[in-house]
Amino acid sequence: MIGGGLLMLLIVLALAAPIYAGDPVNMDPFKRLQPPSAEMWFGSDNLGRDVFARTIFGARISLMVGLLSAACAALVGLLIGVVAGYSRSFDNVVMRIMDGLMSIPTILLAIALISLTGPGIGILIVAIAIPETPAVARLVRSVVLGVRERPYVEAALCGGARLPKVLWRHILPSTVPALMVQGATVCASAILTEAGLSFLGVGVPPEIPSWGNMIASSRLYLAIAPMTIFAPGICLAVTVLAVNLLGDGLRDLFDPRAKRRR
Amino acid sequence: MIVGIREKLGLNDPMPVQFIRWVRDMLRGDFGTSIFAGRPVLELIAQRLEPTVSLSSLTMLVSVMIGVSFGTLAAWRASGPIDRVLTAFSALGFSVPVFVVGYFLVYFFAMQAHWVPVQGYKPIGQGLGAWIEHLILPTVALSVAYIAFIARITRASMLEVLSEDYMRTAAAKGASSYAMLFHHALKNAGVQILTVIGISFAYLIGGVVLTETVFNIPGIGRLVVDAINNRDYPVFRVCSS
Amino acid sequence: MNGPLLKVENLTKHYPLGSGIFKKSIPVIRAVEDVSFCVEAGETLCIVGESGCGKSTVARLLMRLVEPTGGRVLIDGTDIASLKKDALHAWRRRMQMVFQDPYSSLNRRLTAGQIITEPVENFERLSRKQRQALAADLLRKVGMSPEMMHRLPSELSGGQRQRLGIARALALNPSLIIADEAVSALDVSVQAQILNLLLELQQQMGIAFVFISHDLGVVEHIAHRVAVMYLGRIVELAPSEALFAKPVHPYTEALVAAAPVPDPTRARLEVPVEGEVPSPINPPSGCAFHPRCPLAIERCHIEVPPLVPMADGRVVACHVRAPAMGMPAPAVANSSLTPVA
Ligand SMILES: Nc1ncnc2c1ncn2[C@@H]1O[C@H](COP(=O)(O)OP(=O)(O)OP(=O)(O)O)[C@@H](O)[C@H]1O
Ligand code: SF4
Ligand SMILES: [Mg+2]
Repeated sequence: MIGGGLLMLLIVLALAAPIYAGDPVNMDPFKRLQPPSAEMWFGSDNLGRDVFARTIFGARISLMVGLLSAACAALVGLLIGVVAGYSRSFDNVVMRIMDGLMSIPTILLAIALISLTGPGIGILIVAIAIPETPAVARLVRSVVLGVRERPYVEAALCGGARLPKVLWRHILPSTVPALMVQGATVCASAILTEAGLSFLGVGVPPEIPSWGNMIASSRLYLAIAPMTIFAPGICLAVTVLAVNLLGDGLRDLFDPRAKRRR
Repeated sequence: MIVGIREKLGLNDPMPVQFIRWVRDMLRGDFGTSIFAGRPVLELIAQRLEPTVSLSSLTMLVSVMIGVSFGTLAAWRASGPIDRVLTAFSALGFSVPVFVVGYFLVYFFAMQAHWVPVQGYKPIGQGLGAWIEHLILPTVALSVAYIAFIARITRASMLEVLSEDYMRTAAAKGASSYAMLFHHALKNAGVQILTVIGISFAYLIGGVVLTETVFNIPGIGRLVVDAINNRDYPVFRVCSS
Repeated sequence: MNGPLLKVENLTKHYPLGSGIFKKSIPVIRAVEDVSFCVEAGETLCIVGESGCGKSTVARLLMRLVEPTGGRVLIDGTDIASLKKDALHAWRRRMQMVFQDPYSSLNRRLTAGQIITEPVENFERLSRKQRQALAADLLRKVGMSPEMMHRLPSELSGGQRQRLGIARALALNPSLIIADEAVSALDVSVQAQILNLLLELQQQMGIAFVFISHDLGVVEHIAHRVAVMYLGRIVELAPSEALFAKPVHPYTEALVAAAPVPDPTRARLEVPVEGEVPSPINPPSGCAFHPRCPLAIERCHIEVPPLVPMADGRVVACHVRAPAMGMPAPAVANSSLTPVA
């Protein structure tokens, strides 16, 4: 559960950013590309902005986009997976579409979606969530297919329970562990996608400090001011690692058998 | 002027109409004309194919070799020290974005140590040495996540095979662990590993786009990104399909 | 109307093997073939037979957990296939089921109280108090203490879990309970307790049972009438004492002979039925039992024996032991299926 603790810490640090981090947007033309100092721990970027402040504020965007996209993907995937597990006709059609979506590289699919509508945080979240949804839907569907034949589900039907109740009370709870593990994976992947998109210039609008944006805008200054790239890069890696470790921890928690094998 | 272009490209039509027209054109073999380059899209793509194919096939080769070895090694002594280290590596490999790895490599090996060029691409026709030299860092950067991925799959499927009855029987009959691992387990896990690698090709392509951007490689990935940044729709659509 | 509580007519279930785009060519598993019987109020009908002969499929067809390929199930004269959504929902109250595995048939995330009151809550809203009272009442009926309602299934013994399964079936005050191997997963001593509980409930509440088992000892203990199934068909249906005293069908005879006898001084007969159970995908021609039957004659290979009524009120399908008198068998068989009271 190191991952969980680390993630908590990152979230708290990100939320508390305005208290301690300083101003992430203030430009100072006389202090461009400064090396790290007591005043600016990570130095400054090509517009004289405090890299430390920008990195901390960047965490807010990365975490927010990551968590919200993961939540969207998990929710929609859950819905699709449950219905697909229960309705054959829906299953045939929708899972075909899901397989199709899955075969397109995540980043390209997200780029395609964004290029249809233009940039914006909301659309970014949707564009990141959509490529992640099929994996969740497939997983949930497989859990549902396994559970729906269990005797206790048949027993519920014999007791006169109607389908929505059976789904809600007897089938949904079984999908929760797998959904949480998958949710962590999706979240890690979403954070990476957001950073990648921002790095390519199609993600978070450039005026908002995000890790991907910072790296993209400092690419030309790698030789002079490596901190402008390393600081957000390392934060990004640590955050994704924390989420991944959390996912592994959850998996071990829910499935101790897998732990022995892993 | 803009209105004119939009009109010419039919961008004012509703989205479904545009889409259908585009599919129809594709079927006819008309992939459109790039707005900016003013050349047929297909020609642009052909030119950009070599760097991308070089990068992705080299990455495939390296990752499969290293990934399968790592995975086998980890499965050999599951939960031993080697396994722990490799598992930690694969967790890390999954988490560091390819462009961050790329800039680290560029900074230390190209800018500080001057071992290899910072960026760019030399076609294989201009000499194998230059080609390799330009591709080493991109390949390493792109391989990290893929190695982690393949190692994980390999380890899991090897352990699965090793725990099956006939493997236990083989062990009981005194098959050496070498024979167990390579002769029996890897052969049986191989099919599974290959399937997953095939499926994950999409995963690799996503990384190619980012890697080409970091190292300024004029491949398809760059073409796509430039197309988007320039809003060059015909190019983008063909590339992403 | 004074007809039987449950009447089953020519019930048939074929499971297709694989998906069928070319419907005609797919092979099917003939799990249940032309099964007819009826059950009177308060009566216990046992269904016996080897593994795979279609007993569970009959139970699932009765509960409408699977749709029949053919035939009808009538409750108080109403065809359940004709029931639309709401009527079907209401009909569920009449018939309940107790499952074989007491653990996997209980949702392990719910407490005992939640499990046994759930059926009632499918039909009416209960306040917290009502729910608790109902749970306590049901637990007492199956011989458990009301404190148990807060336990999870994992905190109960096998016997207690099966009591929960029975309590859940009782919750809706059904007229008929279908019990599919309801005691086979339990220890012998616990089996006896559960069987006695079922007998008590039958006496107190007049519940009818369709009791499925492959344990003839259990069947002899509780059955009023016994139906013997072989490869999807009923081959003999007789009052319990008559069947055990003098089995007529060669297969029944073999089963009874092979069953462990309570009296240890009576030597146990060697198993007389040899050979594998044939596959229900490709059942033998004529009488499905002929490859294993010591009495088989020419006719058995060709003609499916009809169920023929016998003098003591039983029906038997065998060319040798119960030859049909050249009458159109089904009509006779059907009308004679009601028990001789
Ligand atoms: N859902 C299904 N799909 C396909 N075939 C099935 C299905 N359920 C049962 N069968 C087949 O139908 C036949 C009868 O099965 P059934 O479960 O009714 O036997 P049974 O008499 O209850 O056996 P047991 O004593 O082992 O419980 C078997 O051959 C079985 O393989
Ligand atoms: S019909 Fe023939 S094969 Fe079947 S049980 Fe009777 S004698 Fe045996
Ligand atoms: Mg059964």
